[in-house]
Parts: sequence; C-alpha cells; structure tokens
Amino acid sequence: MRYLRDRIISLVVTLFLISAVTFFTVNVLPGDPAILILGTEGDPERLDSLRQELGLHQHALVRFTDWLRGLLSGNLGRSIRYSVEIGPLIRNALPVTLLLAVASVGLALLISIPIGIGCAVRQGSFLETVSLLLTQLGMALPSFWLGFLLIHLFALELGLLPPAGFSSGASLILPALALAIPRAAVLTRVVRSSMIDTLSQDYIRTARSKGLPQHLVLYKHALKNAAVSIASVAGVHLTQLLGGTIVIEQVFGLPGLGQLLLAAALQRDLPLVQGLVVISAALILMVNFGVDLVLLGLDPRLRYE
Amino acid sequence: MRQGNMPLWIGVFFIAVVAIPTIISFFYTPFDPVVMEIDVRLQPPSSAHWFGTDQYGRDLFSRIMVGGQTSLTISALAVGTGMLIGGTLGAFSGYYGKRTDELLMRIAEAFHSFPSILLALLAVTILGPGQRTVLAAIAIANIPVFMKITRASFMQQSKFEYVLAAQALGASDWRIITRHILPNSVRVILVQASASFAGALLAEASLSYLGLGVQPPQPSWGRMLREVQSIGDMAPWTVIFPGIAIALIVLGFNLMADGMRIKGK
Amino acid sequence: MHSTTMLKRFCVISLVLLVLVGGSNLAVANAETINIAVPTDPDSFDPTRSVAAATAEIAFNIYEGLVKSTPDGQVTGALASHWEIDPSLKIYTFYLREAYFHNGSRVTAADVVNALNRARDPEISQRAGNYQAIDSVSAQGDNQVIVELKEPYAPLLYELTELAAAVYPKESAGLANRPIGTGPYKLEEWRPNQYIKLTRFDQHWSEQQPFFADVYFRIMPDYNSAVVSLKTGSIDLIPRLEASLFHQVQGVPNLAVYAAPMNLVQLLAVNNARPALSDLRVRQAIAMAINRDQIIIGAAWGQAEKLYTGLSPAMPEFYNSNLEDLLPYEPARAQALLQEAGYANLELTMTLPSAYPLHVQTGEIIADQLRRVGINVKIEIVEWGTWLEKVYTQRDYDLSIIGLTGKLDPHTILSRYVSTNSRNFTNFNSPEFDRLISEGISVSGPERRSIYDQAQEIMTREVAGVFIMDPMQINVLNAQIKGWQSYPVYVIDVAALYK
Repeated sequence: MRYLRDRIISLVVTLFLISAVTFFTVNVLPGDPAILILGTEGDPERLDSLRQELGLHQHALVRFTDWLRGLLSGNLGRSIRYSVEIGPLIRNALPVTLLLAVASVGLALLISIPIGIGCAVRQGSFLETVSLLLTQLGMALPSFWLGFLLIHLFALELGLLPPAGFSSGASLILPALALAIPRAAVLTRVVRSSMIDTLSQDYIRTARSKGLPQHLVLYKHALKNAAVSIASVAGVHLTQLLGGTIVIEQVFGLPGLGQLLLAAALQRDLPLVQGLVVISAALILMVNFGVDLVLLGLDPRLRYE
Repeated sequence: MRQGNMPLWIGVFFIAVVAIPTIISFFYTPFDPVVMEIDVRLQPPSSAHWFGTDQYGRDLFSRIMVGGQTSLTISALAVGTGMLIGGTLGAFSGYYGKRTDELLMRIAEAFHSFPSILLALLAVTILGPGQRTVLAAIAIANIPVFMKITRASFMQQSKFEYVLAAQALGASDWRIITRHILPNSVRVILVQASASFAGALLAEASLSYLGLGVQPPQPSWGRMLREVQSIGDMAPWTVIFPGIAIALIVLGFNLMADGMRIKGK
Repeated sequence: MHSTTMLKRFCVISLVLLVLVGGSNLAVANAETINIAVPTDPDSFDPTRSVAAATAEIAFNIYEGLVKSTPDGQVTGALASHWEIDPSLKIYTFYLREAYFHNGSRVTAADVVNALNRARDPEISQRAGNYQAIDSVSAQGDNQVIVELKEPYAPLLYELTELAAAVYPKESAGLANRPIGTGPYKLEEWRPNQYIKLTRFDQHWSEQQPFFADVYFRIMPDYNSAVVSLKTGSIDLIPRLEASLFHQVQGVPNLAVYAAPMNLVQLLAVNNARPALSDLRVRQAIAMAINRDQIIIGAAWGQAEKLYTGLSPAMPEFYNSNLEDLLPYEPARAQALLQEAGYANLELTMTLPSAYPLHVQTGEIIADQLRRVGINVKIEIVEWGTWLEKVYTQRDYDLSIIGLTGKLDPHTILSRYVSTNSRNFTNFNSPEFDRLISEGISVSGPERRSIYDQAQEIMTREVAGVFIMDPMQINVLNAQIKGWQSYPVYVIDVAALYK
C-alpha cells in the first residue's frame, strides 16, 4: 500500500515538473504565434492587437498559473492554430496513436513468441541461425524505410491494404507492421534467451523426465517463467511507442498524437504543444505504472525488493 | 567459443566496410560531394558514378562517403556524452543508493516519460536545426539508458562479497568504485554503447527524415533519404544505397554488441 | 498459467480491437462522394481572421462575396447579379440576387454592409489594409449596396473576390469553426488533422446543382502518401501537387493531370538594407549569377515558367515580358561587378523556410551558383515560425527564398515593394517606383498597363529581389472525374466537378 501511495505521489510530482519545464521552454522559444497567424499576407499593423487577444502580453508566470488552473479543471484551453478546444483535438488523435502502439506491441509478441521458443528449443539449428539473422536485419532497418517498402509492396504492387490515411482498422495494419518488425526482432531475442535459461532449470528437466508432452512443458511451465522478462520488455516498447510513433504517422499519414504535435510545434501553437506533452507524459507514466503492477502480479518475488 | 566470436567479427567487418570509405573521404572523394552538375542528374550507376547521381547531379558514392562523417560523428559524440553523464549518475545512484538513488531515478523517469521526439523538437527550436541539435537530442535520450544500466550493475556488484570485504577493510569509495566495481561493469556498459550507437544512427536518420537534422549542402545518410523519397520509384539507386549504408553499419554495431555479450559469458 | 494467458490475452485483445475499429469505421464507397487531399488544415473559417491560402481554396466553396473570380482571372457576379460604376469611378452600386445563407435566412443588403464594414475595420479584420480605399458602405433597400471610395481605386473589384470580403449573416458568431455562407457547399464537420467534410447546399442561388453531395478534404501533409492514395483510389483529387512528384502521376492510365501557372512569384529575396547588398552593383551581380534554367530543372523538375519580374505570366494583362535581357545570366560580368564594388570575397547567409521544399531546393542550387562567382553562401534552414519572425517581420537576413501568392490585381502584388509598405521585407527603396505605384490605382486601360510596365522594369533593374519562377500548379484527378478548372488564385472549385 505504501508502495502504491509513493508511486502516485511521484507520478504527480513528475507530471508537474514536466508541465513546468514544457511551458517555460516553449515560451522562451523564438517564433511569435501572432506573427505566424498573420503569415506573409496579413497586415503587420495588426500584431499588437492580436497579441492582446491571445493573451500574450501577460507575464509568463501569470499565463502558467492560469494554464495550470485550467488543466486541473480539465480545460486545456483553445488551440491557436485550429481555433477549437484542445480537449476534443487530443481525444480525436489519441485513439489512433494508442491503437497503433498496442497493435504494434501485440503484433511484435505474436511474431516473436513462437519464433523465440522455436529458437530456444532447437539451439544451434538452421532455423535458429536464420531467425537470428533476420532479427538482426529487422533491427538494422530504419522504420520509415521499412514503411516505404511495405507501402510499395502491399499497397502499390499487391493492392491489399490501404497505403495511407486513417479510414478503417485496416489502415493501421501496415504502420503497425513497420513498427512491430524491429520490436519483434528485439523481443524474439528476449524470448529465446529467457526460454533457454528456464529450460535448463531443474524443474523443467523433472517435468520432462516425468514424460509431460513437449508443448505442455513449453507453454505451461517454461513460458510462464519467462513471462516476466518478456512482459517487462514489451512494456518498455509500449511506453516508447506512445511517444515515438511520429515518424511512422508521418510516413502513413495517420492523424495521431505525433502528427498533431509536429504540426503544433511547427506552428508554434503553444497551448496545444503544452496540452499534448502533458497528456502524453501522463499516459506514459500511467502505462509505466501499469506495467510495474503487472510485473508484481507475475513475479511475487519482486514485491520484496 | 569459436562460434560465439562469429557475430563479433562479422560485426567488425560490416563496420569496417562502411567506416573505411568514410575515413578515406576526409582526404579524398572521387567527385566533389557538394558541387552540383544539373546536366548529369539522376544517372544510374555506371563506371564513372558507381552509385549513380542524385537529383542535382552529385555523385552518390562520394556523398555516401562524406555522409558517413556526419552520421558517425554525431552518433559517436551523442553516445559518448550520454554514456559519460548517464554512467556517472548511474554509478552514484547504484553505489550510494537511498536518497540519491531515489532522486536521480525519479529525474531519469521524468526524462524517460518525456516523448523523445518532443525533446528533439524543443532542441530544434532552441538551437535551430542542425548537427548540434540532433546531437543534443540523442545524447539526452541516452542519459537515462546508461544511468539505468550502470546503476543496476553497480547495485549488483556492491552487494558482492569482495566489495563488502573491501569496505570492511576501510578502502575509500573512490578506490572501490574505480578498482573493483568499474572494471566489472565496463563490459555491460560497452555492450550498451555499441547497441546505443546503432540506435543513434537510426535516430539521426529518423530526425533527418522529419527535416530536423543536418543542413544542406552537407550530406548525411538520413537527409539524403529524405531528399530522394519522392523519386525512389524513378531512381531507385538514390534510395537503396544510403539505406544499405545505414542498415549495414547498424547491423555491424548490433552484431558487435552481441559478440561482446557472448564472449563475456 | 496465469501469466501465459495474460500475454495471450493481450495479443488477442489488440487484434480484436483492430478488427472492431476496422468493422465500424469502414468508409462506405459512394458515387456522390469526392475525396480531396490537402496538406494542411484551414487556419480559421472566419473571413476577418483567415490569412492562409489553404483556407481560401476550401472556403471558396462555402462563402461568397458580392463578386467572385473566374478561371481566367476575371471578375464575375456572385451575390451581386450585376453592378454599376459611377463615371467618377468612386461609386459602385451592387444589385443583390435572391440568395440564402446555409442557415436558411435570406441575404439582405444589411448583411453585406455589415460584412464589408467589418472587413475594412483594422480593429477586427486581419486583412483590413486591403480595403482602406473604401470610404463608406451603405444599403439602399433590401437588395442594393453602395460602396463609396475615397478616390478611384482600380483593384476594388478584385479585392472584393477575396475571402476577407465574404458575406455572412449579420448576427452570426463563432464562424471560425462553424462558417455560415451562401456557397454551393456547407461545412458539415471539421476534424482537425483528419478531414473537413462539406455537404451540398440545396438552396444555392445557382440553377445548376453540384454533382457531388459529400466532399471530404482529407489532411495529408505528406504528398508521397497522397499520391499513393490517389493511385489506389482512396483519394480522387490532389490539387497543387509538388513538382518533384509529377513523374509519379505522369502517364498513369487512370489519372488526369491538369497543369497551369500557379500565379506564385518565387523570388530570391535580397535584403536591400544590408551593407554589402545596399550596393546596386552587388545586387545586380547576384542577379546575373543566377541560371534559372538549371534551377527549374533541378528544383521544379522543369515544371515552372521563368520570371524576370514580380508579376506572374498568369496575369497576361499586366505581365511585362520584355525584361529577360535586363540582367541576363552572365557569371563573368557578375564577377567583374563584384570586383568593381570591392566585394571579391563576399560572405552571405541564406535563410530558408523548411516548410517549403521547393524554396529550400531552389536555395541550395542558388547557393551553389553564387559560390561559382565568389560569393560564399551559408545556408540556414529554419522553421516557418522562425522564418516569419526573423526574415519577414524583423527583416534580419541577407538572402532568402520565398513564394508570394499571386492576386488578381497588380497593385495588390506590387505595392508590397513600396518603401513605406509594412510588408516590404526586402527593404526595397525606389522613389520612382513608389510614385508609379501610387499613380497606378487611379487610372485604367493602356495607361495603367504602361505604368506597371515601368514599375516592373525598375524593380527588376534595381533588384528588389531576383525573381526566379512561377511554378506550375499540377492538379491530378482520378480520370473518371471531369470538369476541373484551374484558377490563377487559390481555389478548388468543387461545384464544377462531376463524374
């Protein structure tokens, strides 16, 4: 219980620090949002009154406290760029990124668990050599390059899947694959090595010598033991993906958090940047927390550390 | 054991294949990598231009040679910085534990939860796009990684009997760290450095793809890929060769990391 | 047992989620729906607020003013069926036709007066500067609007075609994301960063109903993915495709390509106020070191027209086509001029906006060309926000490349080079030029043309900037869709399209 309380306090403190750091970094940056709104066609004479409208004439501290107050009451303010409330903007983009991240990790697990186990069981076999080679290759390719390749192959040549945009779940398959391949490569190795560790342990040998069928030994006893390390690596990938899908969102034209953030930062839409950073950070911290709880559930030994 | 060394040597070989031309490029390139010759644009590979020419008629082979300077230097400096800072902090955290540990780990977690791409975007807007920015962004992203790994190793080692014995004998912390723990942690850190180097090369490519990286006319592999994205179907060599350069050297560093892991066991 | 199931469950759940989303969201293919790829969201649908071209091209379908532009750059009636101009050229009388707003109410003269008065109020409108020639706007009855000018102002009708002069109901609020206009389409839904959905407005005054009932403008910042989507059929139209992607759509059987001058003036902005650059010889040397043919091949894939003046050939009435030989490409003379001016080893910085690949590529080639005559150019690529602040507003730069959006009237385009103009970011200063521009607004016919001919010659000879090219606007459609109209201004005329 004490552990829970400490974690929650630490979560809140971290979030506050992130909000403050983001707000002040973003606010000292060059590039005045009022100038951006006017562009090359507006009248520069309008600058001052526009700054007033946007509240930019106030001191940064005042704006920060105003913003914090809004945040606590669930109001993230209005986007300068889109002239709409930020809440719904993020709500529209969040599912895309979330689904993409979850689907990628899911796919990566789906690919890596059978291959990893296969490698562990048949150590030194041809299968292992080929798989290890492929995983190395999977980790070495830049994800956007993989994205070009997948679009070219599955969308243009074969016409099987939509190449870009977000119109249905099928739109997520290629981007999720582009993100999953390098991660599957890492996970395959984790599965393999933890399975090798587990399989060499006494109780597995005992189970085998008792004549338990191979798949039961593997999936019931060995995988259970290896699950801790697999889950913790998968958790790390999930949190990384929540903040790291931007390149793939760009390649596949997906309207997720990453694209919104890139657009907001380039347009100097300060309220939107702040909102996005705080929401993403909160999301990541919560997933981190969740993963830790899952790990505790999987391996009671960790509770006493 | 002999089989275990294979990844290491294959890795070293791949790294050499890409790194040696890069080193040569400091003294010599077949063509000027920057000057444009619009008349010979988009030529397929030939005996004059081994890898063909790009949309401005520049020799791709020369550009890939020189591009390596940028990509490799940025990655080396970024990983080095991350290793130095992260390693030091992690060592403190792991060795002294308690309060220091808690504080440092909380900061590390905050950094970790900060979307790394936003970090890069912030860096771009503060420093302006370019080498420094990419370097800073990758270095900062690497600090918590090295911090965690060094901390874990130090924590583990400091519970070992030989450290406890040294402490009981009244050896200073400095001596214990530098003489006893560090030599035993070096391998873990180096393995991570090799893997991080591979990651840094990919990160540089991604940031350049988003247009946040190195400035023209200076070539970098990532920037080259961004510039030719739309002409890939028409002049595939412009996309294939820089991609192979990245993949090969990343593969090299990953294999080297593997080799070192196996060798130590 | 427990942990294995958990892992399995996670995989299964993520797949089920995918399928669920896939099932519920599948776009229904509809013959009366058109999907158009656009690179960015509009800035605001409030006519007094919007300054982005990206908004104007969509808003053309939603809003109308008294008049609108035609594909050949002329002015035709929109809400006004016709108009009369008093012989003094100062009083315009517009006669309104029977038209309805998207909210069902009838358009009255009072609505027009309100909209125009707001458009010219500097406290309200971002574009008020364009309407300062207007002295008063008044209603006569329910369907006549009288616009009185302070003095004759030839560009007035063109200015009234702009989004800033669009008409909306007098009592409306929140137009920024809930526009109410009179156009053939109304806004149904705007999901920022995803799409803008328009639906056909059945009460439009035009007899002809548009073919497409639903219009989606899908936000696709990356043209590569837009092109792939066009080829696979999930997008029907890409307006203003980047030239570097032209080869991908050329000769594809089920695609139709329409190319026309964009009416965009791309120039090498030369900061006339910088010490070295205030020397006319240096500016002329820069102009003569530039090989436009190479730039157009290298950066625009041959899809552009060379420019030697600040107007585009898309405006044939005023474009001065005799300036080509004024400062031709002669690197040797450029070098000599630099020697003469005492700048044999000049160092300059070129600040480029990263958001525009065409300008960045042009800049790279120009930097290379300038290096060949001994000017060492350092390239600095900045984000759009930084560019606007540093280059455009503070004018703190040596060289830059930018494209200036074309308008229908030469005054609107050329007046920005007047020494006192707040948008004169090249710091061009020529009293003769200033005088010509102020004369141009009060005359018409051949006399007006001759004034702008002279003005263009001055800005080219004295290098207000080095004008490079007008890129082609390459519009690509699914070949089943007919009726595409290219405009010399930012317009996507959806109502004209049919299958």
